[in-house]
Formats: sequence, structure tokens, C-alpha cells
Amino acid sequence: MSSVYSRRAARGAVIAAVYAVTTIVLAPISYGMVQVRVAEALTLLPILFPEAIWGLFLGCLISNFFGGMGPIDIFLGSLTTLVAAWLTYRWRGSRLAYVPPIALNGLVVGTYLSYLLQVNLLLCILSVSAGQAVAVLGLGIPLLRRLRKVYRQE
Amino acid sequence: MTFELGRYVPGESLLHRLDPRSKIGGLFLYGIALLAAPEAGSLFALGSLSLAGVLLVRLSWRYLWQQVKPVLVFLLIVVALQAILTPGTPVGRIGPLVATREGLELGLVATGRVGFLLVAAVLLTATTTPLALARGIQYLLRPTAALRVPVEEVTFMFTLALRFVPTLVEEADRILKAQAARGLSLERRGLIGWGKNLLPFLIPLFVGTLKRAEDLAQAMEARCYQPGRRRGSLEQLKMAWQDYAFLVLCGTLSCLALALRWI
Repeated sequence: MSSVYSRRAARGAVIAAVYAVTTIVLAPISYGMVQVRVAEALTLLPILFPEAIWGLFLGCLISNFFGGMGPIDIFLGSLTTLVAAWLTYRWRGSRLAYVPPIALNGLVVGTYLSYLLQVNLLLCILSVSAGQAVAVLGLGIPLLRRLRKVYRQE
Repeated sequence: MTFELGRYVPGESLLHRLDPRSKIGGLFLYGIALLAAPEAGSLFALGSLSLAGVLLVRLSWRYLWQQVKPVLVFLLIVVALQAILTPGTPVGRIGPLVATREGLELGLVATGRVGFLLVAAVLLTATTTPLALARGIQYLLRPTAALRVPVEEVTFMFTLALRFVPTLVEEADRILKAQAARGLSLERRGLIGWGKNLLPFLIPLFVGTLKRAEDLAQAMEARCYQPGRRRGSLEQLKMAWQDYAFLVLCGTLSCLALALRWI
């Protein structure tokens, strides 16, 4: 049996890798104003594993380096994911935990996309938030339930 | 399924030889310059530098097209929307929709800005191996240790994640084939149908890879991994005068663009 620290590092790395692969493989729907970033389903993982906070940040960083819309996505997008993941972890005991990945990404990513693309701010925020809601609520919650079941059985 | 993380193209150009830290810093500064550029003239003048970089590195245009294609389709939609939704002088009509000159100009500037940002990021990843990039990020993250960020652990995770990607792609391929044998297709039409079909693929992928983390942790300990310990590197990063010159150039460009915008 491995130590808690090794497991933490390994799990963080695996989460980062799965986030990056899912985002880049599904690139046409993962970037831009009308995006459903399927990997954002993983943003609820800090509820179960604190190391997912760094895993998600790194996954987002890797996928924005190798895809995405350049430096603004790399720096701001990844930092937003980090803050959202940390808030999800802080609020892990309540349903509020589902809100940060949707609201923060909608707000921050929507705002810089609106500036970049010269599109209406509200439209951008709403479309990014809608995509996030599909990924987080539609895919993230079933994933979380399944993982809880798997880890309870062990 | 064949998939490679990264777009590294081996070469001997000046950009290839630069230190990854200066390339990351340069990308950040050049990004600021593009974002601050106040109008089309300065934006396209700045953007032409990234295209000059493509020529310098000798990237093929086909390669560049492949990298920007996923985002470009979406950008063309933005141009079309801008052309239709912005009021101004009509230049064309398709049924009840009228495209305006002002809308087209606005859309082209927005597309140019994003396009050039994208080309700059492609230049960085085409001239830097993923591992060199990880080392550069590791160095740049070091000052955050003062904020109690576990820098060594985070950068170790970064390197491990890059190495883990091919294994993960194999796993995804295996699950896709297994689910396809059971009649699953990811090409089902409609958002709900697509989402429903995605779940039987994603959940085993996510659950399976998280379970793999346990094996990975044991393998790490077998190789004497000690968490939080500062790790050495076979190749040390070294900044040369070209790196400083590159940073000064990118810094000057961003200062000029900011000055043009606000003075």
C-alpha cells in the first residue's frame, strides 16, 4: 500500500492528464464562446479529493497550452479553474460546491471572450455559463455519484 | 487511436534554442501587446511578427492550419454574427439578413486578435518540448512557494501528467472499442442523445484512470519517490543573451501598445 502523499501526487497527475486529453480530443467543442468542455465534469472532484484542485489547474494549463485561444486562455483560464476548484473544495459539504465552476468560468472566461471577440458581454457570460452547466451538472454529478459508490465499496 | 500531446517540431531555429522560461515570458508580454493594440493597423503590424516567427521556425502552413482549424471555424461564425448584428453601411444581403461594413471590420479585428494570439501559442509549443515547458513552468512557479504553494509537488504532478497522457489515450481507445462492441456510438445526433452516449464512455474512463493512480503511486514509491523533496534535473536551464534580448523586445512591444492605447 502506497503512502497518502504518493497517492495524492499520482491522483493529481492523473486528473490533470485526463482533463487535458478529454479537452484536446474534443477540441472543436472545448474552446470559444459556445463551448461544452466535457473535462469540466471533473471540476467537482475536489469534493472527494483535495489534490484535484492542483490536478484541474494543471490539466487546464496543459490543454490551454496545446489548444485554446493563446496566452489569455493559458494564464487567466487556468487561474480561474484553480480558484473555482478551491472554492468547490471549501464548500464540499453543500450543493454550493457545484456553483464556482459554472459561475466563475462563466464570469471570467465570458468577460475576456467578450473583449477578445467584441461580442456582447452578457451573451458571452450566459453562453459560457450554459456550457459549463451542461458539463458540471449533466456529466459531473453522475460522475461524482459513481465515484462515491466505487470508493464506498472499497 | 493516435494522439500526441504537444506540437513540437524539431529544429535549430533561434526560437528553438531559446530558454523555455524566456519563451513563456515572451508569450505573456506579446499577448499583452496584442490585447492592448488599439486599432486594426497596430494589431496587424504586431500580428505580422508572429507570422514572421512561423517563417523563421520554418513551420509548414499546413501544420499551422491544422493547429488553428478547430478555433477558426468558430471565429468565422463570430465574424458572420458581427457583420449581421452591427448597425452601419450595408455591403451585402442574404434574405432578410444585412451585413454591414462596420460589422465586418469589427469581426475581422476580433478574429485577427485571437488568430495572432493562437499563432503565438503555436510557436511556443512547436519550438519547445513538453518536458522543457514543464521545467520552465516549474521555475516560474517557484516564487509562489512563499504563498505556501507546494511547488515541488505541483511541478512533479505536471511532469507526471505529461508522461501519463499516452497511457490514457490507450485506455480511452480501449473503452471506446468496448462500448462500440456493445452498440454505442458517439455520433448520435442531438445534445441529449450525445450526452447520454458520452456518459458510458466518460465514466469508465474517469473511474478507471483514478484507480490507475494507485498503481502509479506504488510504482513511484518503488523508485524512492519522496514527496515535497526538491528534485534535480539532468539538463540545467540557462539564460543566454538572446533570451534577455527576446524578453526586452517583447516587453518593449507591450509597453508601446499600452502607450498607444492610453496616451
